Amino acid sequence: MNILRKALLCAVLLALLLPGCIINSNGTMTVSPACDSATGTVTPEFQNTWMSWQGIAFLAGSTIFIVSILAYTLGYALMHRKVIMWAKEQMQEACLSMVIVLFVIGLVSFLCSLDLRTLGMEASCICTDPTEVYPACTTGSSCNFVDAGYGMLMEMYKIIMYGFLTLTAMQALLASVSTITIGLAPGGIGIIFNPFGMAGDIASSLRDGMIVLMISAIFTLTQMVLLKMTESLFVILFPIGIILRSFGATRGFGGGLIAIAIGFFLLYPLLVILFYGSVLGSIQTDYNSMTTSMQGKGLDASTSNWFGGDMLSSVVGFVGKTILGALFIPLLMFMILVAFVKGLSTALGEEVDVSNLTRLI
Amino acid sequence: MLSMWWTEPWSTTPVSIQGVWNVWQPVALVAVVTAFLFVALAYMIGVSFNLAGLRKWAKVEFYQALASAILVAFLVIMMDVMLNEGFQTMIGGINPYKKAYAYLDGVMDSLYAIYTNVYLTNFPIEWIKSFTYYFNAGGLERSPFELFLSPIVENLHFQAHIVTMAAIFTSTQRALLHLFYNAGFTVFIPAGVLLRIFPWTRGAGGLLIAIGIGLAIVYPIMFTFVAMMSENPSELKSKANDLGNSIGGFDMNKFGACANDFESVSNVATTQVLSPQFRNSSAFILGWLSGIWLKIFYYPMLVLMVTFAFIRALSPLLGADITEIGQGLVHLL
Repeated sequence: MNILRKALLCAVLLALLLPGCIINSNGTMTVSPACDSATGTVTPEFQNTWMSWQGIAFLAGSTIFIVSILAYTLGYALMHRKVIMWAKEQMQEACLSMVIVLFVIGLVSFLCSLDLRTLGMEASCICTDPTEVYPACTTGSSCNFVDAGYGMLMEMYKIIMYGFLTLTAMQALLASVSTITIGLAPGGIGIIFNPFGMAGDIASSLRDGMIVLMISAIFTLTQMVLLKMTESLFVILFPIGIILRSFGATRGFGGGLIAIAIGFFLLYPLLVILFYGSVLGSIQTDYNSMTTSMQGKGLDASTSNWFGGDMLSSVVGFVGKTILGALFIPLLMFMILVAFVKGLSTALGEEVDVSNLTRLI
Repeated sequence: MLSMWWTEPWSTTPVSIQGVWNVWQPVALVAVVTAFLFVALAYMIGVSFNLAGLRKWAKVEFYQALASAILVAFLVIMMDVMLNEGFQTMIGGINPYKKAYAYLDGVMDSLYAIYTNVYLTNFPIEWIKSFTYYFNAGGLERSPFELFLSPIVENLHFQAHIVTMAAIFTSTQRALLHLFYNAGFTVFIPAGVLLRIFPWTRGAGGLLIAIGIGLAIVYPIMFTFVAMMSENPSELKSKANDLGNSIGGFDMNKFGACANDFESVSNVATTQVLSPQFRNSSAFILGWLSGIWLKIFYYPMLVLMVTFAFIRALSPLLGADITEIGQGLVHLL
């Protein structure tokens, strides 16, 4: 790592420590999400944080203006064209930073207060059980894009876990049945049979499905955490990005931070709504079909179809779609997100090669 | 939005191009018109304030807006090709979606038949295997059939496991096909065109379009070719049924089923297990697997690899550079 990179990292750490409002008396960082789902507005904490940062950001911008004016004056006095050009460029960049601030704050405010139900997207705001789900579901409350995204992921997680519990119950039952033995030993000598041993094989098949569902649940839960985390991190990353972008030496890095903050906070929930809005209903249908099939077949071992193709089709129909929703779709979403961050960071200063993360695969 | 994926499968009700276009039309037109307005505005400002750089940028963006308009026109044609009669006319009565659904449904049916037959075959064998002599006074118990039936039972257990995993894998592919059949042209591609308007979001938009085209057009077409060069899935189903029927002619006596002394049992372990008859029986039981292996793993992987290679090649043309991401994806595959 070269000296410039180290200096940038130090600058980021310093910037993180600067806002006293997000470090509480216990020394732990408390970061609030940008959107208030209860009122459908930007949270007061976000506004407070931003107000603290705003002064620093404007100070940074003003400093650049003063330095640029001085440089311009010197360049004009000394008839040094390069200095004059540099000063002009710095002033333009400082202006651009201010425009970015105004635009993004306006956009955040708009999206936080935009109730998706007013656009006819009631189904995006999952409201099957208001007592259980994220506050987006509370009757009468607003449902902005973050709430809708989180609500969809929560619904996906719930369906997966319901499916997992259903398979767990059936698997436990069949595994238990498979151990039943019948024997006769008059005088201590006799024979033993295990008539339902084959049920263990069905239990194994259900266990395969359970493993897939558990992995899917973990992936979905990770996305839920990421969604809430990025909403909170936006509050930090965006102001730091603006300040770093004000100075020539850190402009590229600052632009990258802004791109990451906007990409994860704005585009990610929208992608979740787009993709999960397309698959969630079908996964729910398959789950209902699976449970109905199991209820209909009962536990009568004489109905061989229960153990054969019928059972398998209902289970794999649900598990297969769950893989699509929980594993494949996130892959596509992150590809799009990375492409967005790359494009935006290039426009704002320096290309952030987030795609390097894929080398971890 | 949740009701979006509830349309009838194509195999029963063909999708009307007018219906799809009704969803597409406003989004695509708004996207293209906005792109041109955006460029015009930038050019006007460039002329008004005599900003040569902005004028130059606006000219470049004009070409991008033009590309978006051409893209929309191309996609409208492709919708007709894919969903109505176009592809059928070109290669003779074959609709790619219908063919892809038929292929995957055929494979699923075969797998279900195999699973049922494996179960029915294993049921009596496993039951016999569990037969145990019990001698309480000596604290002894003996399962005479365990010795030679265990390999068969374990073999069938393994097959059931493979069939389960293959069925899940096939079901995922069917879900992927179904998702992009229903939402590819109506959600993902219009959203991509919309994002492609602005240079800052062009990468994401281009990738969304590339994914949409790849999975809504290339993916089913590849399945069509795969289906054309592979045999009828029902043959595999009949093979599976042969396996179920074969158990009736399986002479267990040959394999020590009636052995009542240690010598006979040890003969089974040392001689019969290695005998040609036993090897033939095992080969027969495993026979179905070789027949369907290509269909459940090799062909679908080939289709996915070609589709992702296409997406990777198309993305840069549409403004998204996913070289690194693509490599990560291939590693994952």
